[in-house]
Parts: sequence; C-alpha cells; structure tokens
Amino acid sequence: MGKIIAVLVKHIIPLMLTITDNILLLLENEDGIFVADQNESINSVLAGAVLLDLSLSGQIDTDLNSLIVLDETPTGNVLMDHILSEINAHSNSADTEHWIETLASSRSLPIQELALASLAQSGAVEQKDRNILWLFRSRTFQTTDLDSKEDIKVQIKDVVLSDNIPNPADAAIACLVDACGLLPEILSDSQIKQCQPRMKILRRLDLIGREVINRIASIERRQILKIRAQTARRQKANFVLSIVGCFFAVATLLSPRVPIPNQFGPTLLEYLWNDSLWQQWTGYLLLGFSLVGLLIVIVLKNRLLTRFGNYSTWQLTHILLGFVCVLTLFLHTGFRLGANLNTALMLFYLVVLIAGALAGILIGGSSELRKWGVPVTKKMRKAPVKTHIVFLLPLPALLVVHILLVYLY
Amino acid sequence: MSKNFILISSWFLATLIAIVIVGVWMTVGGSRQLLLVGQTTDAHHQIEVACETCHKAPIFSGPAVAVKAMNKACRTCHEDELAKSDDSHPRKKFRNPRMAQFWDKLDARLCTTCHTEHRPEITRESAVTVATNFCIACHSEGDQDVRLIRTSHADLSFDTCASSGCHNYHDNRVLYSDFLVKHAQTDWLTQKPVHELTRQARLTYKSEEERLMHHDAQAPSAALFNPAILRDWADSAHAINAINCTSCHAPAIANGSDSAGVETVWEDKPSQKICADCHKFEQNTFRKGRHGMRQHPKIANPRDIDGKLNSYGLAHITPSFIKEWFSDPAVPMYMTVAEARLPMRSEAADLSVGCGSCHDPHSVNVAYAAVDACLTCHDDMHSEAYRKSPHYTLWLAEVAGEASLGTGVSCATCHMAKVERRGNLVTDHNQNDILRPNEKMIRPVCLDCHGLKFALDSLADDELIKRNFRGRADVHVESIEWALLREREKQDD
Repeated sequence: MGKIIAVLVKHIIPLMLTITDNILLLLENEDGIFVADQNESINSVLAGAVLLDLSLSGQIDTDLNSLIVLDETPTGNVLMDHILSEINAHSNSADTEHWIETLASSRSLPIQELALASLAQSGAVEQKDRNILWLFRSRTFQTTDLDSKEDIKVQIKDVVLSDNIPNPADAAIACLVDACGLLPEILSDSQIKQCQPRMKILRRLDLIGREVINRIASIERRQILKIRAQTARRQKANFVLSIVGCFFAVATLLSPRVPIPNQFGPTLLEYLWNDSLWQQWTGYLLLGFSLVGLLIVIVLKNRLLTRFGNYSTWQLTHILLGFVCVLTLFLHTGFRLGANLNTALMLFYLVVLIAGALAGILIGGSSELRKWGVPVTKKMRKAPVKTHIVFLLPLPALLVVHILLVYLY
Repeated sequence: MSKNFILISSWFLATLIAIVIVGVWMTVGGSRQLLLVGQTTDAHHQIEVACETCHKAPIFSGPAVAVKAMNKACRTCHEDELAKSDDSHPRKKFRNPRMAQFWDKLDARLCTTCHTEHRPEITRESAVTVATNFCIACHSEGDQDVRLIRTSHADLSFDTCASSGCHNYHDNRVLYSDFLVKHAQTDWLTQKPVHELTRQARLTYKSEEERLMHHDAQAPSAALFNPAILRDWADSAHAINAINCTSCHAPAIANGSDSAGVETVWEDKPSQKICADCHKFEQNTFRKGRHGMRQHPKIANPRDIDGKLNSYGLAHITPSFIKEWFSDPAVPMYMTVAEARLPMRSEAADLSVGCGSCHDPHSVNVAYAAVDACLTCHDDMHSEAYRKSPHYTLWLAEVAGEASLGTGVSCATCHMAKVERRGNLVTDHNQNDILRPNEKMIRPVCLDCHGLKFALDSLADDELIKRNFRGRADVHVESIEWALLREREKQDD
C-alpha cells in the first residue's frame, strides 16, 4: 500500500517538498530509514533550512543584525509553523546565527522530530513505531519512495554543474548541501573542483540564503572541529582499550593457567578458582557485563537512548564493557579453558571478545593505522564485526548448559 | 516476514533445541560425556559414563542433599577398605560435636572435602584435592600442635607430613610408633627371605591319587581330539584339584542337575561367571581393583528411558531411534588396554581385561599370570625395569626349581598378594589394596623378606621404584630414629 501511494505521489501528484525535506531526504541511510539522532550538526543544518524555507515563502526576512517576522500567517507545514511562532514569540531581535543555534539546541522544540513529522505529513516518509525486547519503543521513518534521495542528488548535480539559472529553492539547497559538507556524497572530487565558480555565484543569489549559509558554514566549522576533536579522543580510547582487551583475550586463550597455590588456607587465588561462591559471583558478573554490552548494541543499532549520549559514547561504553569482560573472565577462569562443553563456551566467548577487540582496533584506530601505512577498508572493518556476531550465537545455549551443570550435579 | 525476523527466529529455535537436547541428556537419558566439567580421576575414569554411581541425589536437589548423597556413594565402595586400614581419621571421630571446631577448617566428615572429582588441576596422588600441607588445619594449634607434642617435629613444615613416607591420612598400619619401635632393629634382609603365604599356596595341591588324568576328561569327542588343550588341562591346577572339563563347559552335567549328553549342554567359551562360581573371592577383589572395576556391583545401571517416557505418557509415541539416542550408554564389562591411563604397550591396545586375559583357561599357568601377563600390557618404567631387577632373578630361580618356593618375587607377589581367608589361601586381585599409599605393601609383602627400615626407605625413593628396586635407596625416612628417640624420652621421664 505504501509503495502504491509512493508511486502515486511521485508520478501523479507532484510533491511540494521544502528545502528542509530535501535536506532530510539526503540524510537517510542506505535502507531509506531515518532515525532521530541528537547530532547538533544535523540540527543546525535543519534549522538553517527551515529559516530558508520561511524566507523563501516570505514569512521572515533578515539583515546583518536581526531576523524579523514579516507574515505571521501559518503556512500549514508543522515544522515551519512551530519555528515561526517561536521566532514571533521572541520579543528581542536576534540575528540569524543566534536563531540557528537556539533552534538546533532547543529541547522543547526537537527540530529533527518535527522535521520528520512534517516529512511524514507530506507523504514522503512513513512513520514506524515498534517495541524492542518489550522494553524500548523505537520510532523510525521509512521513505515511501526509495529513489527520492537519488532524485534530489540529480537535481543538485543539475544545479551546480549546469549554467542554467536555478530557482531560489534549488540554489539554496545546493548551497546548504555545500555548507554542511554533503557535496562529496553527491559529486566526485573533480566535479567539486569544477563547480566551485558556480557555487560562488549561487551563494550570492539571495541575501537570506547567503546569510543563513554563511552562518551554517561557520557553525559547521566550529562544530566539526569540536566533534572531530571529541571523536578523535573517543576513537583513540576505543583503539587503546581494544588493543589491551585483545591482548588479554589472546592471553586468556594461549597463556598457561595461573595455578591454584598448593598451600592450605584461604588465599585470594584459592577463593577465586576453588570457592563455589566466588565462582558464582565472578560468573554472574561476567554474565551481567556481557548482557549490558549486548543491550548497548541494541541501543546503538536502534538509536534508542540518543538523549543520553551520542553514538560514539555508546560505542566506547560497549568497548569498555568488552574490556571489563576480559578482566572478569580472567577472574572467573584464571586462563583455564575448562573441559568439553565448557571449553566450547570459553572458546566461542574468547572469539567474540577477540573479534570485538579487532573490530575496535580497526574502527577506532583507522586513522592511526592509515598513518602506519595500513589502509582500513570497509570490508576489513566488517569481517571482525561479523565474526563477533556469528560466534555470539551459540553462547546462550552453552551458557544455559554451563549454569545447569553447576547446579544440577 | 522480514529476513531479520527469520534469522532471529531460526537462531532462537536452534538455541531452544540445543538446550532441550542437553536438558534431556541431563534429566532423562543419553551420553553425558560432553557434559563432564573436568577429567575424571584415574580412580574413576573407567566408570565415568555411569554418573549416578556417585551423583546419587535426584536432579535439582539442593547442594546439601547432593553432597550428602555423593559422600554416601564414596562410602558404599570404599568403607570396607577404610575399615581394613584401621583408618586414623575415621568419619565417626569427626561427627562428634566436640570436633566442631575443626569442621570449618577441614570438614573431615566428608570424603569430598579432600577428594573432589573432575578437578584434574588440583588432583594429587591418591586423588587428594587439598593442598599437600593440609595437616596444618588441625595439627598446628592447641593440644593438637605436633610441633609442641613431638620435639622431633619442631622445625618441620606441614607439607612433608604425608609426602616423606612418615604419615598417611588413613592408613598408618606400619607407620605408628609402636610398630616402628618393634621393627627398628631388623636387618635389611630377613634370615629366611620367603614370602610365606605364597610358599604355602603352592603346597596346597591335592594328592596324586585324587588328581585327574587325560583319560578322566569329560568332554564331547570333538573337544577331546585337541591334544594341546587336553595336555594343558591335565597339567593344570584344575586337573590336580579334580576340576573336570564339564565343571566349566557344562556345569549342569558336573553338578548333576542335567543328565542329558555332554554335547547338548556343552559351551565352548564359558563366561567369566563360571570362573566366579569357584573363585568368588578372586572375582570380588578383581571387581574392586582397576582391572575389573567396571564389573563392580555398585556401579549405577543406565537410566530407565522407557520408564521415564512412560511416566510422561510418551513411551508409545517416541520413535525407537530417539529412544536409542537418548539411552544411557552402559559401562562396558571389560576395560581395554587402550583406555588405561598408565603407559601401556601399543600392541596390546585392543586387549581387554578379564579372567582369561591373564589366566589361560586350560593351562591356568599362574607363573605366566604372575609376570608375563602383566608385562604383555604394562609399559611404565617400573615394569620395564623388572626383568633387570634382583626380584626377577629370584623369580627365575624359583620357577626353574633352583630355589625354594616363595623365594621368587613376581609382579603378583607384591601387587596381588596372597591372603588367608576362611582357612584358604587366596589371591587378592585388587592391586590397590596394597598399592596406594605404597606403605600398605610393607606388612603383607615386604616384611617377609626385608627389614622395616629398608622397606620404608625403598618405598619412599621414587627413583628406586622406577628402577624396580635395583640398587639401594637414596632416601632415608627418619621415622624409626624419631620413634626410638621418643621412646627413650618416655623412659627418661
């Protein structure tokens, strides 16, 4: 049904997409799915796009020092109307940069969610709500027309590579895409070089467009630097943690066991590897850490807790938990591989940990590795992630057996 | 259905099936070898498929019930042995509430405190799984502090108590002070080095008048045409003791319960049960030793899959191949040489251990059974060195008739000693009775020919044991000197 509507929408009823809609459609992932992400950079671009939409529809105007409302009449677009009333309600005059920053960081006015709701209203995307593990609610938006992103790319290419006079909206979209660094996704390096003179002309076409785009570019630069620094720090932490974790996991696999001392009386090692209560504690701790690590993957994949940290924070937490799991595994086993099904459990778990650590090394250390002359391709990054997941599959069954064996015999 | 849904459902289903299969193995039936959490000790590995032999508590019992049942299982098989050893630390001693102060340190009421199964890493000699210096738990404080009670022990560390040939936890029959003092002054070799019970055993044949000859053989004519077998039998202890062919091949004829012709009830290869009819003690001890423990009567039977399925009302709808798959493997009657944990000859790998493995059923050659049969399989350093040992020289002389009966020392002399039982001299086929700890061998075997001091030192020297007692011990156990010193101190007081 959704597909039929999409065809109708595309071929029979021409969609009136705003600049914001176009930008949003460009941000969809490969499967045509949008998920809200607390990324201030995206929010800034969307805020700028809404201001451009309002400017093009004659609702607002701007000069060097202030942004003023010209027409308070609602436009019928959810997002534009919310922003318009917000600007209107603000008595003090403020410049474009202020409004972009305010709208991008406002919690009371979640710009991404409103933009997606507006896009859904236009019929370009379909809202999908689902429950994950009966605990979390996840909301995603799926494009009704999987080609829409490609259509927009073609449209932008046409604007920046031809000499035709573009309409203001197309020019604004092209400039916005350039300002937020999305051009490399659409054009090749040589095409980007070739279109630079054309981009200069496009940027001069409209005052508010120029103003907004300049502001966004400035905010983008600042945020990109901030995000890059933050990401670099986290990636470095990922890299280091993964290397140490990998070392410990491989050591667990290859090292000779740490012997239980042949001395009567309570010693820490005796407690750790000979005392049933301590074994249960370390075992359940290991299980707990592993489950939290798994839960984080679900959170990451479905962007469930984006309000409590961005992707890289959760990714770092996942790797940190993997590292903690390696240490807890040592406390639980002392490099012992066990026997029979317990050996299988241990080996599968170690492969999961080692593959996870390798993935962490390749993802977190891609820039470091590149410096050392080891280029990290997408394929190289995917292989340990796939191994990490595949070797995880038998663990629940082996773990249940492991626990049953402890209590039944 | 999305691809993800199918993948996740398939994984969930596979996990569930795996858990159910293992759950059925655990609770209903099926081989549980894969579930072993660690290698079983040398003492029990032959019977490890019969989990219920030791894990007697019903599944899902609490740990207290499980431990209690497991310890009861230990006693079921080992209680007689402990009683015979005049156990120095009997369970009943520690069940007394006055001993409660020691329960937290080392709960000697439970066998499993010191002998935990499936823990190869901490399993030491005699399947002990506590630290070597475990004596420290009770003998380092108060009126039990041996360093105060015995001046000779003042500077000793607790890891030498049981490892230096001075003490054992259970069996101290040759290590207690009075015994040491009594045998303190004996020479290394006794004046008449003869193993008395072995000598007597070889004298107990019946007279020539009662023995059976070739022409007395009762067998189908076809069997009588095998002169080699007939000759072997006629020269055997069986013929000497008037045991005819029918006694084993047609017992119904021999005991008169069947009057039909020999041919009709003749059995070419009688089972081991036939041997046991006469050699009950040998069979009982054989089943307690490593060679025959798979026939021990206390080994649990396979779980009754049909009964369990019946109780769930599933017996009639369960296909036979499922029943077969979920049936417990029975403990094989015989152990093969390949399954042994000790070094064995590779060419003997396929041999199994039953009566006929060592005793040819017709010649019943005990000389062969006492040495050659052992060396057919055993390939450790001690066995290898036997043929270069002074004991073997003595054995050859006895077998050749050049030395008196009982002067030779075969493998069986030390490891399958002759014992007196109800007025009869019989062979103890449980090697472990006098093997672990090796001081158990001193009273029934060594002291017949050697002095206590010499025997203690020799058995404490692992290298000498590897050389099969060729040469003298480099180790000296000071027990006797200390016992004498204490005796003098007592007299001085």
